Amino acid sequence: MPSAYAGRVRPGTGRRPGRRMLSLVLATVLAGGTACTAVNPSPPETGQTSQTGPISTSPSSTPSGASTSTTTSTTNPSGDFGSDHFTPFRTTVPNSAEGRRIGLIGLDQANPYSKLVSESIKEQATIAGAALVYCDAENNAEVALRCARRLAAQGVDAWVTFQPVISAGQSICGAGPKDVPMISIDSTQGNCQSTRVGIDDQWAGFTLGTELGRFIQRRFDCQVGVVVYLVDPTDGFVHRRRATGAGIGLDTICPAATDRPPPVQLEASGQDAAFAAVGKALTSIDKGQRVLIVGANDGLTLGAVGAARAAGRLDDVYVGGIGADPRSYCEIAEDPHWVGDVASFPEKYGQLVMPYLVDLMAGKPVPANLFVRNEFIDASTIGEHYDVSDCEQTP
Amino acid sequence: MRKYLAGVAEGNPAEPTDPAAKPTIRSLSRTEWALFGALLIGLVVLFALASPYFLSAGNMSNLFTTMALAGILAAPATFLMVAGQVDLSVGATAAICGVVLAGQAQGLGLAGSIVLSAAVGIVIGLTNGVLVAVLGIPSLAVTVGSLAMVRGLAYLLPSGQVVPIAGFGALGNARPLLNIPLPVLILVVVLVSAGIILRYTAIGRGTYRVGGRPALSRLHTVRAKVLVVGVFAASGAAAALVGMIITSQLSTAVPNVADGVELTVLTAVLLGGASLSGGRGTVAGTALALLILNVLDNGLSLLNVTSYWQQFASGALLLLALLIDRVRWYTRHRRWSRRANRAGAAEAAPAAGKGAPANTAANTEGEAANKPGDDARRPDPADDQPGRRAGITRYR
Repeated sequence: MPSAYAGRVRPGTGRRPGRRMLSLVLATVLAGGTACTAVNPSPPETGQTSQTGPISTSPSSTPSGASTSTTTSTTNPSGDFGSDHFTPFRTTVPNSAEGRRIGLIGLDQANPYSKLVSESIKEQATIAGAALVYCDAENNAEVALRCARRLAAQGVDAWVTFQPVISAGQSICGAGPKDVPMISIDSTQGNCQSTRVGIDDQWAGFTLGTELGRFIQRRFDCQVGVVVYLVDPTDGFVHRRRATGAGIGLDTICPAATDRPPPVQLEASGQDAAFAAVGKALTSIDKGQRVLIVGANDGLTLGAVGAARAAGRLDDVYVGGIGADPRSYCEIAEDPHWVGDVASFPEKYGQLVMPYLVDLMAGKPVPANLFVRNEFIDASTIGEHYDVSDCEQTP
Repeated sequence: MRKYLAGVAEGNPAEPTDPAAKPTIRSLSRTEWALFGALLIGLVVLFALASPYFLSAGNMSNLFTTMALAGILAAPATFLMVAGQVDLSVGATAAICGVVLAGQAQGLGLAGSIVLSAAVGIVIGLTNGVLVAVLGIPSLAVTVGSLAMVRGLAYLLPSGQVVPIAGFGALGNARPLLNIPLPVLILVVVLVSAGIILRYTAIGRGTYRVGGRPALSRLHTVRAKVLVVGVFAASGAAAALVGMIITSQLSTAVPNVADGVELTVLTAVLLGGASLSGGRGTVAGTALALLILNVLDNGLSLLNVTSYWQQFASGALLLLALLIDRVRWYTRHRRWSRRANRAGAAEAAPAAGKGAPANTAANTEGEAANKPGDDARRPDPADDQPGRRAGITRYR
């Protein structure tokens, strides 16, 4: 029976910690106790989309190498993107959406990243003078569908959706408000989507891999014992794309680091599962061997650091992540083994969403993708973006 | 008299000796019906005033579509509760049935995967039922175990990810009659059928009879065991149907769907007049409670109240339902105690006149009851002892 499900999945769902652990244990037991696989080097993914609609769906490349596909933005992560690939944050014009009602389906208020995104949009909606109707999807597509129905019943003038299951996007489109602009956050959401705001996952991974490569080149002459990619299988190809990008970036700077032994890919759904998976993996790596862990998001990276700390192996482990949400500020600022993070600035998403939503409501053309420019931040630069003055008190 | 008192000690109706006798159908009292009806009307008026969208056709459609999922599960849950059982695994069963449906749709075809998905739900229900009825394991423990196991499998089968399914949108989205969503029509059919079966058929009477017995003797007969296993299977089938509807609505099977729906179902059934100790409840009461819960949830969300408060309100209603159940139990116990005391006193008087010893519990309580302000008129804390509730200790 499991084979019927293989390779037909889409990114996505969150799980409660207890159930996550239970299913992890079951998965580990039924899989013969192994939870890690060697990374199979594969070319960057292209054209993986099941969505159709008014926005471009074919992976046609721009001159800079960037795809305009809604799900595959990068075909050449090692190339330099032109400045037009990324969209700068904009200032929302005060009262530009006066009297308008904007619906927002938030991913999950319990998730710090999602909360920052939602708060940012709320803040910008207030500046624009729009009334915001918020509905929390609780990281559950079923709830997101109910939210979409509710927004349709409330007759909003435009809506924003940030929900976890891409393949449910079309159903959510069908249930949601009709004939009004819709902006999706991070992943595509079906044919009612006017544009998408988010990071270019493969580019973010490439940035992280490059910077980690530079770090180990500088410090250890590219000599590391093992490279571990830590991904969340429920985030599907989003995390695979980040891992792929990171692999290419690392290989670009330090090919020797990924030669031998081959990198390991650990799958873990969330911080607690990452803690367990990395803890187990460390037991099979000799003490004193340098381990470079590439986390596909901050939750996973924090789990890895926790596991290394608990195992007394922090001196051997170096990590980097993607997201730079508040959970990781102090680790980035204080922990010398946290090399750095690719920041996606979720607290500024509203500065893309709201101005472009206003444009859409005014009938102005808007690009199919609004990519946030990632930036690698480390202990020396995080203070330029975030207040980390309290971090010294953190034990 | 001894059998009557056994029922009194259990807080249950007296056990009829004739199996063909019609058991008493107990649910909400007239006062409770009036109170809940007033609460529902009050909520509707409040939300209609607070939000211009509340009474719109679109919102009503949303409200009943959402209610349909919990409602389809609540119908067999009412049977289970009346029989003194509970099934907490329905949400997980719905999830795994959706995953099986979507996962096998390509291999088996849509019809084949629907049959397989329904079979999975029924097998899970049957397994729960057999563990409860044949092995005598409490249903709470069995279904908590199966909840964890089945939810784990729902994640495990698709490696924790979602499974898209094409061409299966009708079940969750079609509006075949008067623009009413199909899930709502299914809900109406399920509730009406369940109401008729529970009230007017031998299955319903048997269910009340099983739940009306003391806990330890509920499943002593083959007929009772078969009935309980059958109701668990029906619960599994309902969960499978809900799983299919959700999968149809999302065009995707998601392992975490219907998460926590069992609490909504439990709240609705208890608030609707059923009792954790069995023997009480009606489908109409459950439907009214479901409507109250969904109006509250829908209205609060329209008012932009955070979902955390909605969750809090749902939990508070569950506690309220348990409190009402307890109050009902005390009230009933006091009433039965009074009757027993009166009957005991009536029996004791001629016996004493003949010089016979009056040493039965009834006589003792009857005598005690004659003393003003005596504790015999209040429920005895000893009646709450587990053994006594289970029908072990009936007489002092």
